Amino acid sequence: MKLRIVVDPDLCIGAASCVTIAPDTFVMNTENKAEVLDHGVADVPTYERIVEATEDEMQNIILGAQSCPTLAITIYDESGKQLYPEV
Amino acid sequence: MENIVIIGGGIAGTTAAEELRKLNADVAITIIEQEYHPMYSRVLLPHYVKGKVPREKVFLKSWEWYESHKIEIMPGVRAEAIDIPNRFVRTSEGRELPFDVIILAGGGELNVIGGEPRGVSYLRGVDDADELVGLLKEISMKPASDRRGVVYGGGFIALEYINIFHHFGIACDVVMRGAGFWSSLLSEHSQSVLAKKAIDGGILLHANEPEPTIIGDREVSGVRLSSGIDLPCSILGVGIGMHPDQSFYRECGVEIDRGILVNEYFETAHPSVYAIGDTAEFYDANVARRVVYGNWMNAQSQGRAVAKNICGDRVPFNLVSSYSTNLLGMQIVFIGDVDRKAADDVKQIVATESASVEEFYRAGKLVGAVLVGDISGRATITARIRG
Repeated sequence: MKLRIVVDPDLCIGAASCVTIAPDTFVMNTENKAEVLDHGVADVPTYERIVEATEDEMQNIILGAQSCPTLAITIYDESGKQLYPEV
Repeated sequence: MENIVIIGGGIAGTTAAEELRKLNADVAITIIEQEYHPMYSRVLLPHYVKGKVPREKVFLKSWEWYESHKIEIMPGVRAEAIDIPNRFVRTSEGRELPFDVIILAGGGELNVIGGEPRGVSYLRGVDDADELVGLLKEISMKPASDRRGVVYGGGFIALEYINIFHHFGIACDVVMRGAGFWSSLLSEHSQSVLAKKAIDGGILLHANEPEPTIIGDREVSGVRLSSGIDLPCSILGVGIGMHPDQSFYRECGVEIDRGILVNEYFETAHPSVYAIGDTAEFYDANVARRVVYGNWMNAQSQGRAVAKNICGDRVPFNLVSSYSTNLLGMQIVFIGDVDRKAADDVKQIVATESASVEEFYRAGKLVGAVLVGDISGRATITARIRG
């Protein structure tokens, strides 16, 4: 399935808990903000990316988002439904 | 195992409850929480105060969440005694809750200054943040020349107050107990980089002031320094740290040093009594000693880990945790064990006018680091500590 992963750099405080849990999806940049990777790879640095993920990968990416103390990470499925934070 | 009681409904305790429920659909889980709110993010409070997020977004769980997960939450309740041999907790409501397993996940007690007229602010919880929002609204009505705040402290919370005052254009003095920011942790160079950043931002620093006097009976009007100089203000933001509620745990028979002593599985010396989060002094294999870390990543990860241990998936805890903040936009990251007194050697790796990186070593191994102004080495240092 495809996930749209969005980091709000204004909310991100660089806690890096997402990087600890989902290092293939998140990486800290030099401004101490989390950027989004696609399976460990970043063609361009970005705070938003659509990623193809297995069920297990999705669960781990959501766990990474849940670990953010400032709710700076939002995850959508391919239909645009917000998976996290729950609405 | 029928009953699990968790003392403390913050991120550590709530994560433990959530994970336990995932692993065990039937066990009764009860959280005893002193505050009257569902779990919220303390880290989001400065964002809320600055108006960057609405108040409701601070709450990470709703009351319905506890219900749907069959987790009993007892808000506004304190644990008054834990009878470990007979396995029950007596609460401030007079209830006696039996437990098979208990998780001690309370945060620490805030250090306070005493004698607190209106305008003295702490940033411990959402109620404090609500009060600060009100004080900031009042100060915004005053003429610009009267918008003055004082920050007391030189650590994480003090920095939040500085950033908040700066955000609202409030002139700010900082009164520090020690010689500078994190004076017992940081090198003189790191402290000087931070001091320069603050001074360049128009902030006045007053160091080595262990006992400033609050001026004002009903409302704070200023702070008097040891020199007799008065710093006028209508908000005094206090951030002078926390301490674990040691006497309570001692009375319960739990072993305490700097925190509740546990191993890498969060087990105390008593079977079925666990401790996690800000008050746990746990064995960290990455740094080869017992440590107390008061950060979000650590508390949350320990909540998840203790639940797995309790449910039989016994894995030693392994995390290099870090904490990140900023001073007027200058990034500061603490990684691993940064207790200066416990280090054999501290190496100043970067020392420029605008940056400072220190590495903490013990027995030849890197165990911690502080990065100020230049955080480019964060990932590499984290990996080296883990390695």
